[in-house]
Amino acid sequence: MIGLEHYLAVAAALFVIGIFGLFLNRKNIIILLMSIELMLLSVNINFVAFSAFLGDYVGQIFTLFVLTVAAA
Amino acid sequence: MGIAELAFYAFSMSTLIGGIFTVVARNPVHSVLWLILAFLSAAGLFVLLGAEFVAMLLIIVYVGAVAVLFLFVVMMLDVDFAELKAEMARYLPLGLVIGVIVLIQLMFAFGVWDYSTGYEGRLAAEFGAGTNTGELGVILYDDYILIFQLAGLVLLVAMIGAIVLTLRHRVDVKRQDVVAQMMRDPAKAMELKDVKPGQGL
Repeated sequence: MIGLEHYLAVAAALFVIGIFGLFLNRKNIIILLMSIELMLLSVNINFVAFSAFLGDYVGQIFTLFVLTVAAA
Repeated sequence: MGIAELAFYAFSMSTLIGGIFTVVARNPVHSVLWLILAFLSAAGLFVLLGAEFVAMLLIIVYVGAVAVLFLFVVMMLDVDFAELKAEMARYLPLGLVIGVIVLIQLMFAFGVWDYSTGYEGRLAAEFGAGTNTGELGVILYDDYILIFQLAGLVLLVAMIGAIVLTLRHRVDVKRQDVVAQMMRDPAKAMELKDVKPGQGL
């Protein structure tokens, strides 16, 4: 059975990869932006996981706004 | 191991692999393609969680628009790969150290994290009847309409800002002046001279 912890672990690993990318590609602003997108994706995974396991849609609403601001 | 567990492990592995190769790929174009893989796999994770709308939004907005935009930018820019590689080798140790430190911190936080008392009731809570998209729409338009409009405003400001930043008036280009064309007087447009033979003007 896949629990909440599994999703949180994936999101944490993805966040660390994003931070790692920020330091690795300091000269290339495009890949910097992509690293930030990865970190936002990990935050979204956290939001959706909590939303699904708590039975509350508001987490998914917030994910929507995070996506909007990230796209802007 | 059921099919759901298998799908979770497959999607999470490909998300993480996509993320890692996004940041370590030498060629920025490959980097964008790995990012697309990461987003698609994350959309699979969202489907597993029952958030179909967000998953489809991720595919349409991210893979369809943002990632393709990145791809355009990367292909348009002329990037010096040799210099980038040298730069990457210089910052690799520092990046690894900070990444490991943040990972250890997150593991510490994860180790002491536990459910609060009486969580069973909330954890077992089910979504209301209706589809994911429909329920999201009801909540979004009932409770969060103001924030929704503000998000639209953010997008509008971003669009206007991008246009203002890239708009430039070039002085060496002749542009059509419609008002000057309409206000021109035909009587003054041409002048007739009566040239006498042998004299010139």
